[in-house]
Amino acid sequence: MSVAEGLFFVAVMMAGTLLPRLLPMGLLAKRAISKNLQIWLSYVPVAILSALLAPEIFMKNGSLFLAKENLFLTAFLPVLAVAYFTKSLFATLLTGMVLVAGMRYFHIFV
Amino acid sequence: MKIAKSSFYDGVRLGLPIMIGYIPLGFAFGVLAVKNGISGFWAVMLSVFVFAGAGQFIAAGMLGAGASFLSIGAANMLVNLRHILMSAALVTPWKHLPFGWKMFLAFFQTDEIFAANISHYKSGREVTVTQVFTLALVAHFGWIFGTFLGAVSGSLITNVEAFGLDFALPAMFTALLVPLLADRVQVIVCLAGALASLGFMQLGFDRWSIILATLISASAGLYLSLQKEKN
Repeated sequence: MSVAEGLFFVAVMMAGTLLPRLLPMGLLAKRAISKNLQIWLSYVPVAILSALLAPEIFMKNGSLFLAKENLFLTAFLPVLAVAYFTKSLFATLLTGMVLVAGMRYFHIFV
Repeated sequence: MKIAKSSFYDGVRLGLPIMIGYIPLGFAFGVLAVKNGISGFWAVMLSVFVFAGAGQFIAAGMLGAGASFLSIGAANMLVNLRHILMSAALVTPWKHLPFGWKMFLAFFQTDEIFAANISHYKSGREVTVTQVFTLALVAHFGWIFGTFLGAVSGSLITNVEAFGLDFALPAMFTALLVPLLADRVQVIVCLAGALASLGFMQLGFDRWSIILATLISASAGLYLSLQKEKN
């Protein structure tokens, strides 16, 4: 990749990140947001995170995979419990990665 | 000074776990980028100036498949459309921050940083430029550093799965999601979002699934909370 190509590539990619992240903030910042829109927006974080998470856990290569051999699904319950009881991002991350790596290493369910 | 210090500490406390999650993810991106013909230098530049996890992974894959820069840019925009909703959701929590800072800080709002900012806001602690910026920098550093490590060791490490690194993202989403489920409506929104997303994926909506599922389940949340108010 030449310097010109690289710069163009980064610029095009950057536009794809900047527009969605800056535009709404810029347009809405100086306006009063209606109460209903505020309520709607308060559900957006949970809505997005669950929409992102569910396919990671329940699907593999674009189709449902509901079996104990789906290690992400098997690890999900303990990970959920750790997230709930510790409220710690780090503890949750560590539990998940150790569980999945461990099941692979000891050939549990796989 | 006391306020600034606690804001800085809040930023570090919120950013560190994300940084720890971003190092393996960035690492995986660095490896993938180099394997798809993006040099280590440009892989790191992408992580510095683009900072879009899913978008960068897709870019590496598409470049390897011979796609043009413009079509890759369009794909990045498409997977980032959900950030329109996040950006809008941050308007109220960031109401009091200076306009210039808001625009600058909006750049750093990945899924995880956004969720951490929301949970900080909901915890009732003070939202400041120092807190948001520190959180962003700590997390961004992890993404850049991970990319660098992945790019330089690209050919050495072939199997990120052995370390469970591919589970870092779902684990992170789980940890960010659970504390936000503060009431019954949020739980329903969560279940609706998950089911809708799976449904749309099954129907072949692919990348649009996330946005469609978000719009539907957040709207269900609004409807339920208006019903609750009426009673």
